[in-house]
Amino acid sequence: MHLVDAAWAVLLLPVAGVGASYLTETRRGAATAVVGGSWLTLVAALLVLAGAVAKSPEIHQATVTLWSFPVTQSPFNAASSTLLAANFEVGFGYAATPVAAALVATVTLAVLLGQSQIMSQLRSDPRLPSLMRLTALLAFGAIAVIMAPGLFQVVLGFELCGLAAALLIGSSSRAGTGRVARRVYVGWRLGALSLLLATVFIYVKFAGQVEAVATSTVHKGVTPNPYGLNFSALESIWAAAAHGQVHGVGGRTLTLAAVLIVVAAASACGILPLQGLWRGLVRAPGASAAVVLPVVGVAIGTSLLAQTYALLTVASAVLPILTVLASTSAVVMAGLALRERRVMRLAALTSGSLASSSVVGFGLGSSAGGVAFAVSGILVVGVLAGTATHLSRDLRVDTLARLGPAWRLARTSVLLLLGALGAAAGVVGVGTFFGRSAVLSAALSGPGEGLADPGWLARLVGGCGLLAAGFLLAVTFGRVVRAATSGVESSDPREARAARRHLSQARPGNQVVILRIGLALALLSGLLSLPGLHYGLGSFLSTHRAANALGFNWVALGLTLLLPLAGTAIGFAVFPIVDPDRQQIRRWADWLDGSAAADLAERVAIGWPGRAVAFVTQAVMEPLSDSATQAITRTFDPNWPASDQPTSWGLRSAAATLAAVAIGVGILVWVAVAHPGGVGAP
Amino acid sequence: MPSDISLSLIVFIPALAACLVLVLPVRSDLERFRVRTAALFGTLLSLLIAIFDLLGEVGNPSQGALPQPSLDAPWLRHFFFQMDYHLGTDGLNLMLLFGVTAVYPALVLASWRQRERYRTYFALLLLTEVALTGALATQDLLLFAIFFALPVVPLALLVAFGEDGSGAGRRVLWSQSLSVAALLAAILLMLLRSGNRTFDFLTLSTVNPVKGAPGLIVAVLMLFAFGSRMAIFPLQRWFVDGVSAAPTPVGMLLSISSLPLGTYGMVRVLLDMDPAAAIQLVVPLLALSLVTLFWGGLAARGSREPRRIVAYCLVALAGPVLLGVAAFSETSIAGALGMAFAVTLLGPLLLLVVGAVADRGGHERLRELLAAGGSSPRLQLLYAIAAASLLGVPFLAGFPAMFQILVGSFVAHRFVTALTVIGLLVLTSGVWRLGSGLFWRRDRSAGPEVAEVADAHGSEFYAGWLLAGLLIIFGISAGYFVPYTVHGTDLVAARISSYAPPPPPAGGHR
Repeated sequence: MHLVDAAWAVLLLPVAGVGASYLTETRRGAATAVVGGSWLTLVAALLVLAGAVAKSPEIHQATVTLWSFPVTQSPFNAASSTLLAANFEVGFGYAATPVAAALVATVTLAVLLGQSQIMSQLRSDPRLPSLMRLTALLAFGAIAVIMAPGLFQVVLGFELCGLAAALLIGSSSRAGTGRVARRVYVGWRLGALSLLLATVFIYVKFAGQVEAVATSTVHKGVTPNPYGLNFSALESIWAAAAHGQVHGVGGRTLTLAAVLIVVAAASACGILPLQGLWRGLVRAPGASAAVVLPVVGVAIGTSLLAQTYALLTVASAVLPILTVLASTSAVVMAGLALRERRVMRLAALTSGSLASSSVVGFGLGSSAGGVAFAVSGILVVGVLAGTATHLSRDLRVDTLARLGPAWRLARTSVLLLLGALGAAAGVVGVGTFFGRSAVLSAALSGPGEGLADPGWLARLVGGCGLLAAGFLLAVTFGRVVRAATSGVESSDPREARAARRHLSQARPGNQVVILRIGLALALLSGLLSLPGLHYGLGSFLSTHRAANALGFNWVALGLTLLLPLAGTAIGFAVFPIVDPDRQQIRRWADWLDGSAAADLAERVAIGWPGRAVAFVTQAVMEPLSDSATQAITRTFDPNWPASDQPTSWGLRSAAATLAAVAIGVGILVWVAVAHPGGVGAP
Repeated sequence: MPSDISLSLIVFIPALAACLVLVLPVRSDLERFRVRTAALFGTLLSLLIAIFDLLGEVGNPSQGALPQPSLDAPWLRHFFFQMDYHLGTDGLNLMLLFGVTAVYPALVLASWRQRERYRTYFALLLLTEVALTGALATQDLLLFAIFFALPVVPLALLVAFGEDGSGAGRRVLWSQSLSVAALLAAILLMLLRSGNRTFDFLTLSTVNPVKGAPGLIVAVLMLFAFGSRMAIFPLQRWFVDGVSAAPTPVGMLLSISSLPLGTYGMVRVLLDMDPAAAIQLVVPLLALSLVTLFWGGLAARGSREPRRIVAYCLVALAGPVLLGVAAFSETSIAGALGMAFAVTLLGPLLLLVVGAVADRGGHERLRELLAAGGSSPRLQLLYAIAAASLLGVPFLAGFPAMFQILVGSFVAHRFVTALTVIGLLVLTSGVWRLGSGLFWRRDRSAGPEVAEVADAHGSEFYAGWLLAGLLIIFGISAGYFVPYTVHGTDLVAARISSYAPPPPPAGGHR
């Protein structure tokens, strides 16, 4: 028994919390049961983290077989080079890698904080139990992805997360919720199906090789790993395939599998052209956005990239493309955040920029940098979304223009928002500072010895994108600071009075305490990371053994320190105070943030063809079918009653029924007498 | 209870219940309650025996290869053919048999508020159970054809019971009569050309099939027969019209009479009895698979009536099922049968929920039912479970089947499998549109105000939870049941392999 065996508890406790919530009689009891499950999950996750640190670099994993059956027939129409596994085996379990341990502890912490806030914010809402259960299911899906020992479990968790998130968004009572939930789910499902196809592809191409390796290692006294989709088994096969040592597998296979994985990760992280995810996620009701945004938007995609990183590095051109897409997304989202006036959307766009910046780390070859960024990003996004929902829901401060009065009447809440935005920008060493510095180091001096280098052009694009995104987020931070500290109210006295009334009457409960804790952790995640770097955190998070993947570059550190400061100063000094009376109507932003484009794509690619099919069915196929049916009916008319005439069950019908029953009974009697064995008689 | 008569009991207890229902009086509410209860007990008794059979056999997966428990009694031996009363279960049919018997209690519960033609309705309902369980349990081709034909008239009558159901009932009657005629023609041709006198499945799966053009004609006729029953494109109209015009429980019944039985026939008869010709039909099968999936998915997205949307979604699922059949591997065929089993549960559940909203809302168009189920959390949950299972979301019964279909098919038909995955995305949009329209869309500006309907309760709620519970149980414990099915499909795949051309050489696929 080892500490990492607590991983089973991490996996199962969220579901246990959901089960326990059904045993309670009150809404609050149900919510408490779910939160209790999350507390226990967090404790177990910390134990796993401690165990992973103690055992590092050794990785402990365990799997329970879900399905297993022998495959005996040679497949039809398959190329002769296809080597299928003789046993189809998939399982569910955990792999306590350092990355998984770090991410799972962060995610469980973010979920716990979010759930606590939901419980406080929606305490009198009838949807409270269902929202809490959905967040627990979301956490279960995310933990399943993060702790997955193999690709099959990633598919399970990925699908579950998308469904839970869409159901959460659908629970909102705002107008147009159904459309938004559909957009989010269809986008997520695109990634999920891509991941499913990648899994199938990888299974068909590599499971046989994994099994062959496992069989050969049995003779050497090594416990074989029979699961064809196990990551640690696949990593060595992928490396061998890259060197042409795997029969029937070449560069095209690896690239295709990697592209499918990248599509899934892009849909999970809301990277161009799927960035419409973020506008949808933020529609989750109340503080559930504080769970949905960090878990669905940041953790899942990051974890997927970290787990399949060995494949991405051996597939040609995948990392540079990922870098370009992610850095462009980071800049676009940060640029949109700079112009945004609504608080919730600002939180969503900032979160999107952070998630994309994290992916840039993977694209630049520094998976440890990406993970380090993501760890801070999850906490920052969680507290940012939680604060935004607290401001807009409880205090009615839904635009930046209303921050002015809030600065005077609810300063703590505004400071929480400013702190979260500062952590997002990585100002003066807090929040995402360390992760940003690590990723930028990879751009400036390469990812490190033995790690994949995406090339100078990708490094240039990635580095510039990361700097620009960080700078724009810092400008946004400065602009929001100015909007808040100016204290300007609406010129309409009634509106100003209403705003003051809302602010003075608000009862946020213990939300502020929860958000303070969250913000403290988010800020410290950056500060604590610096000594962590010194003590080998980079090596711990690195997928490459015995190499410190977090390069330490003084230029990168300086740039990461100075640019956010400069950006904040510019934002504070240059941008005018937000006019409270000016409405924001910018349709082009809907196109850039992907929501309008996603709607249009769904409508054009599926909606219009769907209408065309419905039209063809009604105008062509049904008349043809009717003609055929009428022709047959005229030929063999059974005197069916007309449609306007009720079907009656008269004497003749009864007689006919009796006759039919008599014939049936007669046949049965005949069979029974002639062949008693036929009816089971002795 | 001797195990060899358990299948006869499963098949014929509903017939006895039907006879009982027909003679019971229905003058008062109490008497009508007795009729319902008799029907319910008939179906529950069948289910109970099916549970014993399922648990007794699935525990030993190797038993899935040969029919167990087998009852083989000689019957008609004095003609130029032999027809035996042979019942048995194996990996191909046991799960489907269980699924059908499990759905019937839910159907009776969903019919609890039936008001008209009491005895006829329940008697016909029970008669269809005899037909479906008989078709699934039999091990004789002629007996299968009889059971295959048996539900046509009851189904047509039941559909005609609905408002505006006359035309749809007529369509069910003619299209399925043609389907039965095609099957009988195929059997007759097979009998005449092969020289076999017996129609025992086990024997037919070991002798040489009909070769050449007659073999191909047999296969085409069978494809038409089972494809029509599966409601694949372009033979889907009887099903779509039937589901939209029939009362809700009858629509549920149609959903288990179509795809599950057609898929079983496709695997059991077409692949196992005529493998050489089936291989020749692989390209049409794949084309039909894709067209059915995309047509169904797009029609679901474009339709305006909730029941039609559900019907088209179920039509679309026939696409992946056909792909699994056409891949000819034990994994993909097991996936196709698994999907048929999942449809046996999810189809009725979807129609139960959507029918409940439409019936109570008093409208047929989605636009007039916007957010009608907004205050019905039980209906929402049941819909979410059924829709997620249809889309292949993990931990529900549809996922293992879909995964097996894709894994098994990818080896043989990579591009078609990839296109199928895209088709699933189209289907996702259709399913989500229906769900968001009925349950979530609060923006009423697009349509008139609709009163929110009452939530599921009483018999309807129990029926829904019976089906939803089974979807969850079989989704989570799929590993316990899948090997049994695979052992059954192993023999079919082996037979196909023996007629398959040599694999293409390596190269060009790296």
